[in-house]
Amino acid sequence: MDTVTLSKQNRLFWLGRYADRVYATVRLMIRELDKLIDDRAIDYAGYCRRLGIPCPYTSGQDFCRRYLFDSQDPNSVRACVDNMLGNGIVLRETITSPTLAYLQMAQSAMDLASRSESPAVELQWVLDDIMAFWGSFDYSVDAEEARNITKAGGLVENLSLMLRLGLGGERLDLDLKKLLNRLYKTDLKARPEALAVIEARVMEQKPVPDEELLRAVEGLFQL
Amino acid sequence: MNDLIRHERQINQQLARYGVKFGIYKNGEFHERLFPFDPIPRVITAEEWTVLQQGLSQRVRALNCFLRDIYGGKKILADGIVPEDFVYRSPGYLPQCEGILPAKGVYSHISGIDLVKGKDGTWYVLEDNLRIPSGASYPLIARELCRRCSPETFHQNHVVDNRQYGQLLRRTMDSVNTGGINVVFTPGRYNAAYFEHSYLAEKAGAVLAESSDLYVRDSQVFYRSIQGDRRVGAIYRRVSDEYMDPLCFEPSSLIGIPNLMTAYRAGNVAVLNAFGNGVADDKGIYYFVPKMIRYYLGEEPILHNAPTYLPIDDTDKQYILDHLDTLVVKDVAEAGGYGVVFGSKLSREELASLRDTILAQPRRFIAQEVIDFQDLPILEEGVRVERKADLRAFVLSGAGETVVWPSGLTRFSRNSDSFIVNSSQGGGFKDTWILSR
Amino acid sequence: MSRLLHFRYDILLEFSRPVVRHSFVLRCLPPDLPWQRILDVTLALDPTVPVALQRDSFGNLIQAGCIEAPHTNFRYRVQGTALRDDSRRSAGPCHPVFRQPSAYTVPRPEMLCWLDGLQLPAQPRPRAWALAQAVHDRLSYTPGATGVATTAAQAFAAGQGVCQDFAHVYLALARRLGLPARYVNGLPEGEGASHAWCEVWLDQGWTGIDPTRLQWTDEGYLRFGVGRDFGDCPIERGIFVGNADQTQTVHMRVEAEQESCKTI
Repeated sequence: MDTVTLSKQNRLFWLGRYADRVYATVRLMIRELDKLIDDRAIDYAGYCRRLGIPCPYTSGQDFCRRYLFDSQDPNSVRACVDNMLGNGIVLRETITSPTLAYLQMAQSAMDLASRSESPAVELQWVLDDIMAFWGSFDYSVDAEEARNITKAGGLVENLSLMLRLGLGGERLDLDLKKLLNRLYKTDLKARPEALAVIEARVMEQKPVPDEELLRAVEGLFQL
Repeated sequence: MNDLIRHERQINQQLARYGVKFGIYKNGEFHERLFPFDPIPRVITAEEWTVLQQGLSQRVRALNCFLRDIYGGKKILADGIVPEDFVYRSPGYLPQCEGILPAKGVYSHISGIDLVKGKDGTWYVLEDNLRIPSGASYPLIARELCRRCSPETFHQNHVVDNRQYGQLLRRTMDSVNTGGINVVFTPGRYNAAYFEHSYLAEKAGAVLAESSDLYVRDSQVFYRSIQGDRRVGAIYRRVSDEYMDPLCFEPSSLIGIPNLMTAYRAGNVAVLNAFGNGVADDKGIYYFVPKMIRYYLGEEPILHNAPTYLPIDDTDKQYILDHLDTLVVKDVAEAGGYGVVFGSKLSREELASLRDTILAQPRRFIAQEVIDFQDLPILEEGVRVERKADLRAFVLSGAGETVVWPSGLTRFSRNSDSFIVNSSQGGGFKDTWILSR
Repeated sequence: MSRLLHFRYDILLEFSRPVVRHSFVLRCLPPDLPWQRILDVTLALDPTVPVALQRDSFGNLIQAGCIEAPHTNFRYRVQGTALRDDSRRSAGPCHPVFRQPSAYTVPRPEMLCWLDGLQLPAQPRPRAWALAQAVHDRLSYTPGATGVATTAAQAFAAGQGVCQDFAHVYLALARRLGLPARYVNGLPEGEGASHAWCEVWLDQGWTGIDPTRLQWTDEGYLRFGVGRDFGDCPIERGIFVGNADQTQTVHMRVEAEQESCKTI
């Protein structure tokens, strides 16, 4: 279907954001789970502070458990998976049933991981399902408009996480460039002042402080 | 078929993968559940289906004639076939629809006719659903998945393919479309049948829309799209009449489309199913359907009604009062398995109170003989047990054609002592096979 | 004897905060009927938006539209001239729905009890009149005691109400007595607010009766919409997006021009 409503635009954007948030945070958490094996310290307080989320966790162990799997915690990975699926469910006829099935499977894999003694094995399935989701999404969504919006959501999320967690490097500039490309292709309305900051950084290689760049990325779209 | 049973777990996993769910409200909270699937199909032979198909098509054609007549010339009332009170006291009759002829004159585009099969092999119609019958999506997706899990079963049995429902639905919508896109209109994510709404939209190539996506301007319906607004030519709506237009029906409705009625009245949009159909699927009007078939089509009814008694008729009333402990009493205004009371299950006090209620409000009830219907086998923890089951057949009526979908939703009750097979009351479903020979 | 009526009707809706997507249906134009000829009429809306003109299933003229942009006022004004002539009322069919109770007019047992206690004449016309007298005596006219959602049963229990409630109680009981009856909205001769009364089906035709003022309607009554009850034919119904309180100011004026009747 080549028709995208305004309400769908918002859902498509957040579908992309949540899918990439799940992907990125699961990857990070697989590494943290590995640290637990050797009783290495996990700076969960710093992590929460950088992401700007509350830190109710009491230990590295507790953090790995609840941040990953507690569906009651609105900031947990599990809550992101639910939100990702929730946005997918209301987009079935746009993204197609086969694509939606991968999101459903990612949620099932999260369930399995939460009950598993070796959660990283199951979490790998979550990553696989999300990759398969993106592949299926690209393959089945004919409306370029819809594809662009979701991809833009994914890029905004990745950039936001990179900037917050200080994981930037070269990848940061690459993704900023991709984001601008997406933006020029879509009908998404961008805030001029935010756009100017990103363009200054990408086109003119001007140094922009990370906080300002983060604000520009997060505030780029008016949804 | 044994191979299919062997794959029960696999099939249910596949159903979970595709999110085949329905929602229920419990203690005011929304929960989604998987709709339990039983792998043993209901099998209908080719000969049996030929008769059913003719009978179902006949019934729906007559019901469409009835609706056109009631909101138009009212000949059937003038000729005394149906008493006037039954029509005008029915909560499903909407005077707001008087004189409005829907696009191409079709009222009930998607009809769900509920049947049971008696022990003697006779099929009985239990209920007509002409408003927003749900359930087609479940057997549709189940068949797809069963074929994947057990190809051998479908190789060996000659089962008529049922996977064209999406195309049938689309053809029906296209045939009444007044120029514009097709939309499936859903009350939203937290509706019990949201899975079905989104799945059917996908399969019929229609746009899934909610209230805020649609608006009316100059007596035409438009869809707010980021590429510019698009005209809407047909709305397959999954919202009840009273919530569809707050300026014509229930004023407090927030899930409707304000002034939709002006577009509908002007003939600028097709609404599937039409407004006001409730007058024809009322449990009281049910009694008159065989008479309608004779009246409008000049044919003998092919399908039987369950023996039914109306408390407003003196002879029937006496019969009901004498046999209350063996009859099933239905509240004509209720749906979804609610408002159904089996006399055999009641205590003496409850029977007395039911009797008083019937006498006080005779128009509100019908009474039927409890049909001794064939139970179907289901698997419970790997063991075959017999359960009550019904069949909802789907009949699609577009401009100039009435097609019966060669499948249907077979629902079964999970309680051994329950006759109620509704999904909102915890039942499950089966595939329904029509054999091609 | 006929009467030429000059009428004006002016409604102002004010919102405490701006509202958007304001869809409306108006039934503020009198229909042109043999006994109510509309010689000229104009409708002016502010803000000006396109209006679809249709007839609803009760035969009422409706004016439907939508104001998309933010606004805090909605005003509509009707002005025109009608020739009222009750000698031209003719027999006509009665839709069976006017024999049945409707949402606002379901009679409660205590109303039926009271009705049983009335000594009403058997002939339809005197019966219709006697019922109007009884309802008029039973209810006291008290503005503000009831609202637009008040049912006949509630008004009856309270023993008070405004014209809408008088009409609903009358309809509930008349239908119970086997007299088909319907709700009417419109303007009576004079100045002030709009009015509601009833029509009863007598001698194969509709006759106006006003239980509030206790009179058969005369040629000073200008009819707008009819229906089973208020819910079928409100003069204005709207729905909008916005969290605002709404206030309504109504002004109407109907004046008769006696001398012009002789020429027509």
